[in-house]
Amino acid sequence: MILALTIAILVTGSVYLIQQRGMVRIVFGMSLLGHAGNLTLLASGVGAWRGEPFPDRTPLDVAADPLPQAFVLTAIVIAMATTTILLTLAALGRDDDTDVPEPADDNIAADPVATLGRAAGNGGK
Amino acid sequence: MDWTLPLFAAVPLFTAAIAVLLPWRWARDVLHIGIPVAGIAAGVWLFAHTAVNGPIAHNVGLYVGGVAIPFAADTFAAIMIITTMIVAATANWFATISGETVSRYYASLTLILITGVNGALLTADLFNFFVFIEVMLLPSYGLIAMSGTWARLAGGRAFVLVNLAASTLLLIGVGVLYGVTGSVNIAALQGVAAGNGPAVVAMGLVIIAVGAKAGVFPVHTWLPRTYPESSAAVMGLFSGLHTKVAVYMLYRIYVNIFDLEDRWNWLIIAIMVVSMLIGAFAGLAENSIRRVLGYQMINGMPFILVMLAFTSDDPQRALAAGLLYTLHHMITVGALILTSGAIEETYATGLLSKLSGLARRDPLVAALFAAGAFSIVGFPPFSGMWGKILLVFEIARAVDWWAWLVIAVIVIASIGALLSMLRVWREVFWGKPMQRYPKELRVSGRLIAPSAVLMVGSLAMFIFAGPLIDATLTATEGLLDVDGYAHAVLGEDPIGVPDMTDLQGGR
Repeated sequence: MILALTIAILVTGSVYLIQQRGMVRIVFGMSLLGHAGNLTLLASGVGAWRGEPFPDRTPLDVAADPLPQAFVLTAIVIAMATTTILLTLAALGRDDDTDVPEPADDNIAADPVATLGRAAGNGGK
Repeated sequence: MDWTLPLFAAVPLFTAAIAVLLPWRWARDVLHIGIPVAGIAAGVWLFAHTAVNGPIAHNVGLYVGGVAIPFAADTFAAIMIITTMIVAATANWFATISGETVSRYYASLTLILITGVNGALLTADLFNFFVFIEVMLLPSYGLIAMSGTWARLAGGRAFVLVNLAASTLLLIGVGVLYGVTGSVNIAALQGVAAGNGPAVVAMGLVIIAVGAKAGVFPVHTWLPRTYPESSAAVMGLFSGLHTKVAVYMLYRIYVNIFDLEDRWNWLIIAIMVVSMLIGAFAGLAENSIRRVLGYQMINGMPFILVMLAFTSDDPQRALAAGLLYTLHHMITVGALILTSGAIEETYATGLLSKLSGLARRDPLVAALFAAGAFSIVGFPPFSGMWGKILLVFEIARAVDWWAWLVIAVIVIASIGALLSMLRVWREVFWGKPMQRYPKELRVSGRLIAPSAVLMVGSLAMFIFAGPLIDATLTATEGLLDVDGYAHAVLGEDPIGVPDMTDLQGGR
């Protein structure tokens, strides 16, 4: 029950934060969503079994299922990597505002002979 | 020969590590074009091998079936590998020509992307599928934002957020599936979601997540807003790889885990019909060539997926029609995007309002674009015609009113696609000659070579339709051979195969 409530609070917070305009808040929101996902994974290893998953310390009928814990470990590593990328994207550019005027690609044709490929070399003009 | 399967993921991964160390641009270019070309050859070998020997699988670490994390391949996976590698090779070739590879990390990022694609196409484990999807997406985040213009950065942010949210949902779905059944192995889960068990709910989460990645209504809106902001080479790469891996997985899941159950037919048809219409007509409101093409990608996806609702009569032929359309769509959209890229590289814009009169200025580019437009609408002599004809024939097997509804919508959606392409043609290729560019500026032949090769491929798919249709039939025969797949993956004496008879109320 506590696990379910925790997941619910995390998802609520993440939905609120993701709908904000600033990128950093969205990153925090995605982070919360990731944690909610991890707790869901933990809950999927049947909730009644919560003992340490070591056969020499815990009888097998109360030991936790180690596989969801391995899932969570993998997911945490991936979520950390993506959070790094998201924060990089927040730091790049003018500011962390995600509201972009349309059409977003109007500004690339300031110089009629500067092409996208060549712009890639000099850090983007 | 099953030990070769991990190499499909391992070879590009190690090559990516080598590419990041190489100081010479030509050497990196050789690697990021050479590896997909080698992938085409390996895919052809895999197709020939699995066509003769049936599905093959390799348990990494040689663990017992059911516990191991297996790689598995059948003819369906092989034909997808061949086509994704063709698109990847031409998109990377275009990146080399257009100067994208000045950036030192381009080659490594695409090679890691290819690692993820091959892994996702060959894995027989849903959690491993999630991992390979992430392996695909992490370099994509880099590629889409790499050149760092403001528009690409904004597109990159949306791309990362949507894909991350979808991946988290996929992870939650896989977790719930494990909680319900005790397994995430596709072969062990055979037919688990057929019936009204809780597994359907868990698989529903997975399907929504994979559907978001495929760009299917109502979770499609991110795609035409993010793909066109990347460079043409990257968009070409993504169009052939990301969404089509999702389509592959939806086919695999629906055949293996849902057992082609017919109680969802109404839902598939309803969603796909709306998706077709949106994809066909929303492109009319877009302002650049590649944004229109982005909606053509949305338009193509439901043509493929609607076949899942028409499998009751002859699943092999119905899925083969969907597969043929997938192959056609990958090649044709790739060609159109790279043609648009050639225009953008030369004239520095893809905006419809700033381009005009290209038919006189660059007749060859105009011919290529017209060919691609013919193919995507479904006119001969290009692959799109057989793709759409086979779809309509297979749908018509179900003599019901909804079959006629779907056929009618396919025709209406094709007209919408025709209008979208006509609009691009009128704005970009007709009209007054442009004044603001130097008179002698032309799209160079080098830039259109990759898309020309893809269009020749589309033409070849029209002319050699007979052997191609045979190949797709072989592929879907492999896909439908779920027992052979399960036997290859699980071996003789598997452990941990879920017994669904007494699960929370059973079937």
